[in-house]
Amino acid sequence: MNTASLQTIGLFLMLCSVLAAVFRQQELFVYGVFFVGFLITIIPADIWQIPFHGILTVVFPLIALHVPIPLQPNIPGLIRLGIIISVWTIALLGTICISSFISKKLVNNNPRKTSE
Amino acid sequence: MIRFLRQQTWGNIALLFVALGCLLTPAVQYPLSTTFPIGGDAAAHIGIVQHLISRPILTAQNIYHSWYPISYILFSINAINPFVYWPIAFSWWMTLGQVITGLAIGLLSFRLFGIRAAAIGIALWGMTPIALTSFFEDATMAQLWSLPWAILFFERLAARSRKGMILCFFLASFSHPITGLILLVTIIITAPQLWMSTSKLDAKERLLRKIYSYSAGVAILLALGIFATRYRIFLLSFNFESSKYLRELFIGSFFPWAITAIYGWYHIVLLHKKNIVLITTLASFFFVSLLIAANDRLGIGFWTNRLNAYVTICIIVPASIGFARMIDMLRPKGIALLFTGTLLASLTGSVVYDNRNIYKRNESSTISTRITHDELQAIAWMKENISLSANVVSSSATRHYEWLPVLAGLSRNDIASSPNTFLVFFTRTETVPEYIGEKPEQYHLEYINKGAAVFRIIPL
Repeated sequence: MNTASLQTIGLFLMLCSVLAAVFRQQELFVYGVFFVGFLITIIPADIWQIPFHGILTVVFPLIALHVPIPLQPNIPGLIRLGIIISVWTIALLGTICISSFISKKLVNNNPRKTSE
Repeated sequence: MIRFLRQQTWGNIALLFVALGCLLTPAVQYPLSTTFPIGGDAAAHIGIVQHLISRPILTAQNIYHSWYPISYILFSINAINPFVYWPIAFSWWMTLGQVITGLAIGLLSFRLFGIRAAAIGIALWGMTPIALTSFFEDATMAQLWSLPWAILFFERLAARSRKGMILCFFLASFSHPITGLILLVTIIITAPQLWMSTSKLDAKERLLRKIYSYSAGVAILLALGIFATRYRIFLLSFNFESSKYLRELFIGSFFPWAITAIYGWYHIVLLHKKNIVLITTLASFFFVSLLIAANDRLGIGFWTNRLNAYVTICIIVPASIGFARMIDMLRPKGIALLFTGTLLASLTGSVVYDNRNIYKRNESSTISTRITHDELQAIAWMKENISLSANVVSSSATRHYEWLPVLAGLSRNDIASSPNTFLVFFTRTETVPEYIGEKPEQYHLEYINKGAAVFRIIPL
């Protein structure tokens, strides 16, 4: 079994744990640790090959459900929903922006990229 | 179709047929197990289209002014049948919507991974009635019929067909505005991501990015305009609703599939890494769908059960691919396919068994979630014996009164407004007020059975 396969399995198991933590224990700390683990797992193997945004966009709403945004209670429900989605969209786009920047930096220093 | 089947192995064809069985059985079980549509929205849907042949202009106007024109246009096809009995036709139409949605999921999974994923996707959607979606129980016909278009929007995106995408987007939006809104928000979230993408986009993708960006810009301007001029829409009142289906999806019986979906999503990303627009759009769709379906966790509780279908689709499609990928790795192939078919059939059997008890309960005459034989008899009597110009008054204790215009052609009011007025009480849910029994000279009992009582108001 090669490294990439091991990392794929690691990623799979880690995300299982993330979901279990999120929906069963609601322990944000566990979730955060595994999210970091998830990033560490995929960075060496596949970050050059997969669209990273695709993974990040899927993980973000799971975080959103566990990090409440303090809003005035008298704000109507639909407007509240709109605000929450907007705030998390901006957070997602900001994260993508930063990750793209880091990714570009890493690509420039990646020997595999230069060999291509 | 025959050529397509010839290209497949016998094992895959067998799996596909098992999956179709898994889709059809729980879907057909609904009309076969119930004698009348369960949900209260059915009467409203029928009332819009039922006079297509006799009053086409009025029907066209009703459809034009409705929120769900495409769904109604399709549903109105039933009016061509001169012997149509609308309540039964409605139940079968819901069944057809469920089946078509399953086939659309199959098509999307096929496009993304292949025939095994298609079969698994079809079977998984087949397991959703009652356990994971409320369409049958709520009679939310328009929303159910908007789902195939939304799914085909992604299928066309995977096929890189812009015209198909645009067509499906508009069909979904005019079938049900919530589906259209979710797709629109998906596009709004996707557009900036495409501009930030470090991957190189080809010419087609760049054009699609442009279309997304313009659509997002127009949508945001429109939303701001609506917010400024029709602020009251955003003040819509609703009761807080906890999502029972989301728990089922992530903690209950569907939990293994949610886990498989993670694996499947990883493979979608790997397989279609060159189709950045597809990956980003699908991910954004999940982003929007999950936040909307789980809005009770955000302290809102707005229609969570009805909004769960979108996130269910987001789980089923990657789960089908994840599971298909797993069985691809198993050897020997025949045993793997046999195992898959048996697993899907067993799970479907369990769903059918559970749903049977629910339908049986709904058929019971002791509960009033749906109209029963006695109430139908009373309505039939009213159709025969009360003139169409009469005013029928009923309380809102049940929603059975909504069937009066549909089944008897009578108009219903809350208060007596003309000399020719009848009072109807659906006595399983409400009692006849004492003052009516005390004044037989003023309230003449015209009809009574176990489910209803009809009084004529005698003008003094």
